[in-house]
Amino acid sequence: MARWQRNEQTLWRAGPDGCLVVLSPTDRRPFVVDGSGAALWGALAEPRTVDEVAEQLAASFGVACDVIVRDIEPVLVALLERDAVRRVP
Amino acid sequence: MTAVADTSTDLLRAIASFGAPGVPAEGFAWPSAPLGRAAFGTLLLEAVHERITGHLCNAVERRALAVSEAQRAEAVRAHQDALVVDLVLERALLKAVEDLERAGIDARVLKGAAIAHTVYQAPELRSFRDVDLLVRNQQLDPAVQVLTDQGAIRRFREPRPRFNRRFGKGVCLRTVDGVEIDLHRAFAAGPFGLRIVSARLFERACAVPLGGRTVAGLDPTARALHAAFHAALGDDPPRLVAVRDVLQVLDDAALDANELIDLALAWRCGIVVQRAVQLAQEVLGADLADHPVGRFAHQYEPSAFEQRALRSYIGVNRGYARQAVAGVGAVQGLRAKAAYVGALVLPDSAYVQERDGGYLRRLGRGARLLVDEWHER
Repeated sequence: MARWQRNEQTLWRAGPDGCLVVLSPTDRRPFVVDGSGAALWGALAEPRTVDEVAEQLAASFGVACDVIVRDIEPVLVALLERDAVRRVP
Repeated sequence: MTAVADTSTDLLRAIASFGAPGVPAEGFAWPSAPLGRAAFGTLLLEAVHERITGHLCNAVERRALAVSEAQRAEAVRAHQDALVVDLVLERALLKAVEDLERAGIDARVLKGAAIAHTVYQAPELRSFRDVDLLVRNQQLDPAVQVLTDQGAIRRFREPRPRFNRRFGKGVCLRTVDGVEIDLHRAFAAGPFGLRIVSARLFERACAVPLGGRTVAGLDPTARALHAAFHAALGDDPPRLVAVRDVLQVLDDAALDANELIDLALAWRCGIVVQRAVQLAQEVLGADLADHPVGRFAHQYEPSAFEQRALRSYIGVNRGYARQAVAGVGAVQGLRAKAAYVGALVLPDSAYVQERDGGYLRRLGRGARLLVDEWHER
């Protein structure tokens, strides 16, 4: 199963209210990931599968893993499209 | 004693000092209910101007500052906007450093980005509005060339060729993306900047982590001295973010306070450190009585040169021209003094046209400044 990790060249800030502000090496402008973006980014400091990320966030937020997986998958895809994260073997 | 934070100024100071090292938690009494709509709008605008939206959101999150839901959302948006700017600036900074490195030019990252990533608990707490880089005196002109080759535009002329690399604070550039890059050779213009030995600032460095690499920042001693310069001589009144920086650098575990004091004395700028400490105490309510630098500031008796020099940076008569005149006494060596005075009295015609509109008007202004200076002595 593919694992996900931050692109280390991405510039970022953990924003207010748990949001994340990121600027990938290829993006022209920073974009904001609302909600628990900062927690997701924290979990991607090391390579992790979606399930591993979901487990970590579920423990932090007290939400079921499958709900978290549904929430973070589109965010990860958006971050990948912007080159802010990478899929690693 | 507890100050009541019932005015916009008091509240801004309470926000700027929120969670700061050396500031007693009970120093300010926060309002118990949310401010009215207009008052909060003013507060938010001022927090943006003072670059303290990070501390504002922190105070809201930790329930020190009572806000309505709408006010909370406004504060969050304002801080997100500040963070977006920070990242755009960091990218411009990395590109500039890489361009300079390719040309063999050594640079040190100053102020905003360097401070945010080294002495604050989190970089989100320290926003900034431009990029500041320090280069060696002899590399200032080549560094300007590198950045202008990339499309940056130099914002101001210098009095004569090579004046800035010898006597100036540095050069201000604007990139094609509209980012302002200040290339420094010294911490300040005028008498205090002229006493700085640029080579000392490159003897050591600290690593500033940024975008998957590290860039070089000033060592902790020089970083603390620069923070003092920025707070004491930058704006008058100083921006709250600059005063907060002073508390952060003084709290830095890597700082050798005695080395900072020795450096300030060697460069005849003990009064700058003294004023920075006084501002931290008066503006943010810091208690630095037990800090070695706080004790130094309390006891220090500045020389006549320092007192005269400081007057050119603060008060209603502050300004570049006044600092330039006050700088004559700080230039070392007769030939250097002659070159400095010659460049200021008879600069290139394009510079005179831009600044004064003509040589006669410039000479008249210079004469008035000299008379003022003589009267003050």
